[in-house]
Amino acid sequence: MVDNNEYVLEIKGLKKYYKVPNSTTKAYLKAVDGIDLKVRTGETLGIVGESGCGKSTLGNLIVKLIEPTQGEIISSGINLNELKPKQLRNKRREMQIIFQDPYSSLNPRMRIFDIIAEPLVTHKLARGSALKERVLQLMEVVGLDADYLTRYPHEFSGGQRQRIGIARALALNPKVIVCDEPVSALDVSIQAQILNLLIKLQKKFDLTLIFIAHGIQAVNYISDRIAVMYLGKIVEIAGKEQIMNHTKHPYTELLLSSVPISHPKYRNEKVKTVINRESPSPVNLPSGCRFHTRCPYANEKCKKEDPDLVEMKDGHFVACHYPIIKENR
Amino acid sequence: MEIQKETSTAPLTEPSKKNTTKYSIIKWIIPLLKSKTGMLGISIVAIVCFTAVFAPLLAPYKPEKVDFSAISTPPFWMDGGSFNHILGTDNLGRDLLSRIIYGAQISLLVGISSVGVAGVIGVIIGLTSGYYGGLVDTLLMRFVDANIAIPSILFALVVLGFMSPTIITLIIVIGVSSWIGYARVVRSEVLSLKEREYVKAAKSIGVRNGTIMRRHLLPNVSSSVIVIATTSVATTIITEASLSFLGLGPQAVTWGKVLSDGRDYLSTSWWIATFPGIAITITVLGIIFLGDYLRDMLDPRIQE
Repeated sequence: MVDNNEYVLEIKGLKKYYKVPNSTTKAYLKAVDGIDLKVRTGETLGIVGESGCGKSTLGNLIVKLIEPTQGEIISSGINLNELKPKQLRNKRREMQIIFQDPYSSLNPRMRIFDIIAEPLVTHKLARGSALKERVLQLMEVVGLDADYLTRYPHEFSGGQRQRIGIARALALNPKVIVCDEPVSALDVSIQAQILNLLIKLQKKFDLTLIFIAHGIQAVNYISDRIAVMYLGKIVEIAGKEQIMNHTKHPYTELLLSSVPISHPKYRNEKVKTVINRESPSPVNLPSGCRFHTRCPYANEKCKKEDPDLVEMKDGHFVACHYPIIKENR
Repeated sequence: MEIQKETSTAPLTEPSKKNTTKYSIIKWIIPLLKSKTGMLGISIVAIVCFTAVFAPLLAPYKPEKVDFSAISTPPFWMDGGSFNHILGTDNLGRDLLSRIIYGAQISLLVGISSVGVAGVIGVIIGLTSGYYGGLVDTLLMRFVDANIAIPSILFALVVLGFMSPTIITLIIVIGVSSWIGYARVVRSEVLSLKEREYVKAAKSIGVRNGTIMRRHLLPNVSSSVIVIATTSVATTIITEASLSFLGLGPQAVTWGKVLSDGRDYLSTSWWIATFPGIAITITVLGIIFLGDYLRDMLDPRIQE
């Protein structure tokens, strides 16, 4: 049933702790605190969570921009921790990243041609006229005009810059692209364009996308499966439909209910779980279930025992002692 | 649509090559003609360089020629001055104009070369320290701190005391004792630049660290480096002067030497120290203007 190609990426017990500077006691900021995740080949996995929940750290860990404190990342059967620097450099071709801020993701001193050609030049994949052809082809794929080749990044709008970033990520024909909040810095009208472009590219090149965002709408639009993160851990992961319509975890419910509803008719139906409390600090995590301080359903057990991520129904995993069960919504 | 697309994209590959080479030359000249400070800067620097190169042809006298009949002659417009010595003479009757013309040679050479030496050392140390961080950074920065504790004049005294004070040793000594400013500024800029997403993108592509520093960090710190470099040309000329004053400079005429010679006679013959001072000021101003222009030219955001 499970063949080797089913999962392009496997994450096992991944942790990233940052030492808190200037603290007298040994305090650690637990940005990512034990994540197990399997990413299927060709799917789009959305990762949502509020600011500071460690979702960007997770993205950076996957593309090896930072070293994990603990845990393994296995990409196409190869453990990234065991690779030598040279092997890792080759392996990087398979995993690319698109960043949030299109204004700082392009070197202001480089021309568009040099930016998109950099991956190809680095891995010596093309040179001369073949290089130029490939760059032009990439620009066409992401919807950029060929005339822009010799321009500098400051001459472009946010959306166009994001397209340049996407072209750069595509240059190496990667298997996996981590999209680290690629649309949250853009205008709403541009957001849809970029999301549609990503969907189109995913189909065209059989990409696996890991789409990180804090807004559940964008994730819902693009993803096949959604993982909800809270304070460095995955609290719920399931297919898009399951997450949206059969929410099991109270935090997911909170996230969904915090989306403003445009139509006044439906506003009263909003779930009354909004609790005005700040997210606890990832340095001093609450005991037991890390969500119990904000959870409307929490009781004594939640304060003591940390729930594991368990499978409720086929492929629907939840980390909660008392998952929400609704007959009909 | 189809036809239009083909005609518009197909010829793009060939002529664009020609266009870019032609374009780049024009791109450098036109803004230069437009920019007033750029023109002024490049003119001043060109004139000073010309003077330095053709000093033997331009100077009316040999710079060392002593004329006891014309000691401390004032400039031509003052009482007792004459057109034989346009800018007057010093306490030994040497022609000031000739000394300033010849002085341009060594002063420019020492000023620009030692700034180059200091810049290269400082930028390399700053880039390495800021980019790698951690232990490398700690060690290099403590080394920098230790260097601050050594007075540069004392350092130069010791080194030049052991070695013969030639121009080359002078350049190296001044360069080695003034790279700290570059290292600190470059390091602090790199600390923030290396967190930019384009550096992360380069890392995720697999670009080597050295290439990241050269391609992504160096061009983005260049404006600060140019500013420090141009302003420190002046300091370097003065440092050379103080070393000459201490008898550790090269045995040749330099602006600094002329200036320090004239310091003792400031109350009686003000012109001896004033004219080399003016020469230093104008040259430094020209270099600063040129540096500003270069900085703007290297930044694609400022180009029109």
